[in-house]
Amino acid sequence: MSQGGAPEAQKKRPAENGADETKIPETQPLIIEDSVFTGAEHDPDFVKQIIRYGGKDVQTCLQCGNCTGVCPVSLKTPYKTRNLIKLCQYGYKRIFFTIPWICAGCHRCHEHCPADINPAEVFVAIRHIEVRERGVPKFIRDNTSLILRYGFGAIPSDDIRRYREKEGLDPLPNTLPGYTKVLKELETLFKKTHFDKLVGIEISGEGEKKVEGEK
Amino acid sequence: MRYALFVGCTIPNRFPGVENATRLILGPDHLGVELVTINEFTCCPALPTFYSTDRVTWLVTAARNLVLVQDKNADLVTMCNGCFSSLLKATEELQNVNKCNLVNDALSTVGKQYRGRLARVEGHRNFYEPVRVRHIIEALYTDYGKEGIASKVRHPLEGLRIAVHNGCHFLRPTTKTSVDDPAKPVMLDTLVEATGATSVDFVDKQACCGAGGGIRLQVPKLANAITKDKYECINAVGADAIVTGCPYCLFQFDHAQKDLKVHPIPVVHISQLLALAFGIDPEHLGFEWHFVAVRPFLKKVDATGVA
Repeated sequence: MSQGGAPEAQKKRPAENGADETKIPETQPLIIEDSVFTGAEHDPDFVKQIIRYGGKDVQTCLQCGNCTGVCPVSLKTPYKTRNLIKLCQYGYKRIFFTIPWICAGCHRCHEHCPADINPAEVFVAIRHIEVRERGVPKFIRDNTSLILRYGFGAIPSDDIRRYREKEGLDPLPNTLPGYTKVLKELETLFKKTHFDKLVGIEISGEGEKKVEGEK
Repeated sequence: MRYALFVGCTIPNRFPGVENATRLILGPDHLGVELVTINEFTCCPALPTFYSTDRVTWLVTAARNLVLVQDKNADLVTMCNGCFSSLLKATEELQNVNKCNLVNDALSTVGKQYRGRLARVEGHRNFYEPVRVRHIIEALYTDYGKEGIASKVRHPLEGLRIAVHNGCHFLRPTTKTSVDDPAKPVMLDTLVEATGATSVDFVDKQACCGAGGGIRLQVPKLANAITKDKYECINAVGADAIVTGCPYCLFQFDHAQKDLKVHPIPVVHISQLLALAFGIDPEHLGFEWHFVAVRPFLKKVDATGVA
């Protein structure tokens, strides 16, 4: 971990990591009590950075472990919420860049936290940091380009379209002629908040969206 | 009552039957709610995509959706936990003046402004309140109650055992605007009981389905492993169906059961269950889009009608 972690993390996130599915290690690489960390992973500003992006002060964590006990992901993977918060306290930022985004956001940890830390929001803050330093995961870029194209994160199959017609359901808003105005609005807003640059999607003037890496 | 239905992404494109069921139960033949149609909605936007990468973009996009409702004198009602959680959180954050100004600065580029809904006028001053974001479960529970729903039931589902899955984002995180008790929620159970069915108790009832937060997209195996635990708790008490208020939980329970090759338990949305109890023909409820066959459950429903 201490050897392999740092150089791996320093690499930029690949632009397209293809169709291969995210792998979760089956062993426990994150039992921090057994690991030796070098200074390379350490970032003294990590705690402050988490606060800046909307997380709470992780230094107030009591390390009681309630969060791990109720976390659906901790139950099934080596990533234990309590350990991850400990890593935050120590400022081991780079380790988080090797962990996939698998917090379900169920907020059970928040309900059971005596120090009112809300680990789920801490992980949201860490994702903000990761996106700004290493780029976004592919599924975020795909989802954003879908929303820019259709206004929604999913499009119906032909069968579903036929079913909707048969049942007399209202036509989907994005099939109506006036919807191009809405898509324009979204583009303007995303440009205004610089979300297009953050996610790596190019928005040109005339409704043509070019996704990075797409031919 | 005026509801502006916010159907979101998953329901119209994956489970159109849920949308149809909701429109039918709210329609003039049954509950008789006045529905306001808004065709300029976009994605809510989804929490794992936008909220995790840029909170400002998330808030601006959510506020844009809220602006469309603020002058319509209607409550925004959604049938999806994700939309509910995202938009409710947004109304709460927009109470902060600084954030609201930041959002309105961005919205001004498209000629919009978030004020909230006009609450009252005193002299020449207008007072605004946040746009009311509601989940269909909470809206039916609060506006009609158990008796109100039960009085519309034409086909009681007596004797059916229903496992209730609230879904995380309907209950948590606990904030000022939370609608139900996260430790012991009652709303969905009450609606199920109002149809005459029994809401069964099982171990770890408020556990996560496993799909949320992009897990289903990134690591389907992990999502299924989490679902399996919950499925086993439900299977142990012998439920006839799983009822949920969230299309993504529905999707996950449905898919996971197919992937895991377990004894199938049909999964339906609360709108579809209420539609069955109101005597609406199942042909209109789009059960063919569910992966686990709902027919065995419908047979049981028919059997209750005869008795």
